Amino acid sequence: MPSVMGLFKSADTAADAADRLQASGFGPADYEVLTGAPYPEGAFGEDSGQHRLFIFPLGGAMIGFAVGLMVTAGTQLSYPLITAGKPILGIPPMFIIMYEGTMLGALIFTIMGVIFESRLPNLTNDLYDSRITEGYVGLVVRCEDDAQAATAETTLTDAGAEEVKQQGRS
Amino acid sequence: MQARQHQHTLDPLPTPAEIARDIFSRTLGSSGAYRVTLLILFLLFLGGVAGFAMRLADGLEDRGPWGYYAAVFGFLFTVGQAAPMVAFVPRLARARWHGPLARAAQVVAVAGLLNVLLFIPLLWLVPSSAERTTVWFDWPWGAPHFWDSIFVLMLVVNGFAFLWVQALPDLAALRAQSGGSHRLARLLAGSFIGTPKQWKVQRIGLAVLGGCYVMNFIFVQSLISLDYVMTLVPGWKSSMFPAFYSINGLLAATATTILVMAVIRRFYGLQKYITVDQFWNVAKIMLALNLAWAYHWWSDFLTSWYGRVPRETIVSIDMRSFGENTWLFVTAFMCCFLLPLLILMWNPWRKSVAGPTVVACLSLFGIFIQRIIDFVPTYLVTQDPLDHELHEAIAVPWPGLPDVLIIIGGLAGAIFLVTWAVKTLGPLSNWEMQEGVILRRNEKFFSAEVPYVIKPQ
Repeated sequence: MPSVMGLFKSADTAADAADRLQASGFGPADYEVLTGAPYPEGAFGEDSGQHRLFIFPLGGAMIGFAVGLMVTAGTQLSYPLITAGKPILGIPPMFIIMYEGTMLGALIFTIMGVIFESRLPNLTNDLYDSRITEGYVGLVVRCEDDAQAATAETTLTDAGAEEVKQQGRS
Repeated sequence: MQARQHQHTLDPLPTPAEIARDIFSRTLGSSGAYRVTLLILFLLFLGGVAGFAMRLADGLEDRGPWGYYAAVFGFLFTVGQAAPMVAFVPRLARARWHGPLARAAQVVAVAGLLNVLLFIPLLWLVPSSAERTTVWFDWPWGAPHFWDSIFVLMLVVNGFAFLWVQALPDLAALRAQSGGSHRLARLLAGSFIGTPKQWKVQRIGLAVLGGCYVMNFIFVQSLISLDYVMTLVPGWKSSMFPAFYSINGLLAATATTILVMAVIRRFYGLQKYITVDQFWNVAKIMLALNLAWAYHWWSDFLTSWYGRVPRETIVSIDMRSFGENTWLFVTAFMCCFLLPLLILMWNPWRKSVAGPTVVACLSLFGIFIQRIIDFVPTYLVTQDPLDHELHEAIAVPWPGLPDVLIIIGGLAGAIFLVTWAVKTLGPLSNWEMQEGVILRRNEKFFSAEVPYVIKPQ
């Protein structure tokens, strides 16, 4: 699948190019914006995509809490020794380990979530330019065929791209 | 007409390209001074290892001589693990001044590596929960050693994860700028290229990890204060002490951030980016924490003084305030409260680089003295921790040669790690600085030029 990247010196021209792409028939899901710093969501009319990161810490916390509860309740019920009149399932020491389990689960699953969600960008090529880290904005257009790639190239060039890179064209 | 003659204008904002050039030239360039600094710090750290070996030669059965070692751990664990919170809170509050301090605050988390190593011998020095009265009650297994180890590791891993997610875009930028020759960036940047989804995930990841960090920090500090300090002293039961111990940590967070920021600003020549704004704003929080330090100490002291219960007064007053260790307490009180108050109450000093930096140094020194008061006499207690009360308040002895070597070596080891990390990751966060510029405009407001800051929802 061919891809075309236009490199823009300013965010203004990149936003203008994104408008032109949409006018040329490309939908928000057909192009990706590459920036060196986060812009407000939708600044380029792009589709920022769905993520499931919230599920990771929540799921991790629930698993951690459950493990903490099982460890604390399980060990104390396995050795039911009443000490100093305190209940078998003493909440204060159980709380410490359940809290520990909850936080540990949330932490580990959040790290996994960041890795999982960040390592799978909706991008199927390696088009990139180091100038993006210096404030340039890259617009990567995923095309169905060479004809669409040619349209994207023309649109990006007309919109003022400093450079247009291509990949996967025959 | 008079007012119009004194029009207020702002310095022009740097462009993202200038920011990137300034940061990456300092990160990717080599410096003789940097290498010499690392070498000196490493040699001092080796001295600390020698001090540790000397202590170890006497064995781990008697914990008395290990008091200064434990104090170094307590201090570094407070200082090293606290600072990342300063990067989280202003970001959460969407303060516009936080960008230049983010790296200085978060990078200190790398000292956690040393903290984990320093923590290991303590596991052999303190008794299990069965031999003293702890919050673990009659927990059947692993208390407190195993669970505390998990907690300490968790906080350190949380600090590293928080730093990694914050630095992820910068690592990707370093990888691109170095043409792939920056090995650490190549390894840690993953496939980050700055798509909107990746920015969104990174923002939420920072929020979740930062929130976890604050919750973990307070809890772990409280547990350390209970399991490695308070429950070693017979009859010492204070609900204020864990809170006071944690307040020291929060004060250390602001003080460490200011100090690292001042050093980075001076030695990397970043006066253009790290301005008085950052010092001024963190100094206001630091002053509040200086006052909170005094308030927590006062609450603990007053309860014991008013109650006149011998087992409380012998610890809270005779050992920790006005008794055997008065001169140490007065030093901590002066450095953590009185001098900071006298300096920072004046806005011209508060609104400067020097004022907050001096107070940060004073506060850190005061916290170090406080950790000596916390740990050294505690480790010299020879009574059974299950006794009803402490019979005699213990004076802090002067440190011996191994202690001095351990103190210097421990500090040098932590500074070594932070110095290396600042150089490797960059003294400033490229993406945070660029974001600050993207979201800011200098506009005319009647006769004055004022900054407009965009705060996206």
